[in-house]
Amino acid sequence: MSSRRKKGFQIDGFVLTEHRNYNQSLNYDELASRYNAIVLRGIEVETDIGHVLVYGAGPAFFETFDLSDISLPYEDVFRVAWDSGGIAVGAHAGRPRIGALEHVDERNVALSGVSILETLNGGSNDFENARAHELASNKNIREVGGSDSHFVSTLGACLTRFQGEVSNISELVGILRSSSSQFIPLKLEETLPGADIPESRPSSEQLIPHTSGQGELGGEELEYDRSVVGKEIFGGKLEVTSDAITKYCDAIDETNPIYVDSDFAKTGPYAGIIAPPGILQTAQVESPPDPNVKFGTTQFMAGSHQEYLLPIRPGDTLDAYVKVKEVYEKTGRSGRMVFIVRQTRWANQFGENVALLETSMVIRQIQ
Amino acid sequence: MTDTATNAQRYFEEVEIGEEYIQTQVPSRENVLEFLSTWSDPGDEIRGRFTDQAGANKDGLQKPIVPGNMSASMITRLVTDWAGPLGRIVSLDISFRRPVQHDDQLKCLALVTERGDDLAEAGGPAIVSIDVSFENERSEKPVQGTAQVELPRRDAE
Repeated sequence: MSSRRKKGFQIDGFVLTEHRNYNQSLNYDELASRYNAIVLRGIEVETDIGHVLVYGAGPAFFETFDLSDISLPYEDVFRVAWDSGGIAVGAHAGRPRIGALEHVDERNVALSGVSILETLNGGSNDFENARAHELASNKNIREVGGSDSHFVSTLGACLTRFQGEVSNISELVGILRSSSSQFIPLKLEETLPGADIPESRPSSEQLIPHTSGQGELGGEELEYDRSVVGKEIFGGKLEVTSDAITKYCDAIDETNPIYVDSDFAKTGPYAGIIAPPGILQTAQVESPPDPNVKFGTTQFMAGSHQEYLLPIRPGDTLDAYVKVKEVYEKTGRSGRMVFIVRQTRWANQFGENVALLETSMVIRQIQ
Repeated sequence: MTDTATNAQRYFEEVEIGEEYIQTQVPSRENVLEFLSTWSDPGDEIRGRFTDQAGANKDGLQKPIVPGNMSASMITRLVTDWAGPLGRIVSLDISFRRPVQHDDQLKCLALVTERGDDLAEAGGPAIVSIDVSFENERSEKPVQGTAQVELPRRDAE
């Protein structure tokens, strides 16, 4: 927020909406104070019409629903949120599967009880946002914007301007519930002083369709071999050679002299060239025991967590120890997704851990 | 593949929250093939979606895509380019939110989000947190992440 404000953008606050998790014990006061910001708490739940943001719901909401359920009945979610004093908002409405639009188009979902949709979403592209806006306009549903920020740097990419005071969750809910209140979705650049706020944005017909509408929602309990989770096995050796480092550096246009210039590197802290950390991402190791997930037709890399503990030098011999750390599921643009997190622990010839790499693979069903 | 990499050294004391480092990367099919050659054989079945249109279509993709571990390597390079030769990645978290397609014009951003002054003043390592991301010409951010980087200090020179 500091960097956004330095550039003249106006962001007063944000709502943290963890997926399927509402932890009331977390206190955001220090965060709010440090950045002079309003920091509120909500939740993003998963329903049979995609993801839904819920603000200010009372205890009855959390007693009614199993928040880990990835296919909650949307009408109940919107109704119970309202009846318990809160408000539900259809998140990233233009996104395949996890937004409301395709459920309306393909299954004639009526959007009963839905009074607000997020039609300007920082994680959606322009086409997806355009068709979300068209859905809201056609159904006479009010619209908000949100950054959908999973990282600090995307905070405020899209946001909502409210007319009236919003300093706590009650005031936010009050404005969103009131039929006479005024609010509009904005893009970050539209918060600059004097910026034009367009009366209309490009329609979906004017934009290049770009979504990845694949797959279908599934509902059955996930079947896999739970006994292999957490079992670490030896996955093989990696001989780190100067040639391998050079080949890797060539492949990614690496120019950092600590990796490519031996004369420079001799004067540095390692007294010679070291391997770029990314080189471990290309090492081939044995797979850990297969959890044998009974789902999906294809898999992609979804995420990576890496910790680098010690430098890796030419001549090092590294041992890989691999395991399946975790298997879990959630819904995404392409419907149901199953994640397998595999971990590789790299140890050098002295028995010292040099790196820890976790790769999260997502399995999807392609029709 | 990359327009610029200055390799300038960055020092902890000079880093400011909100500071941005931007480079452009355009991974071509040739770049992908060269990267694949570091870890897979030309006959590997896994290569399909990374190298040709038919393989991509089979997996429901519009175009051939850049392998996830190549995107991860490009991100690690962005971070080490930002940090300079004496900087060190402590940890890196990357989220692949959409496919990176061949020839995507990627604006690669490293943005400083936090500077660990308290830890550094207490004699600990000088750690800076940065957000990293790729943004393509369709205004999508297919790869996003965060990194913790240890930087050298001026006063240690």
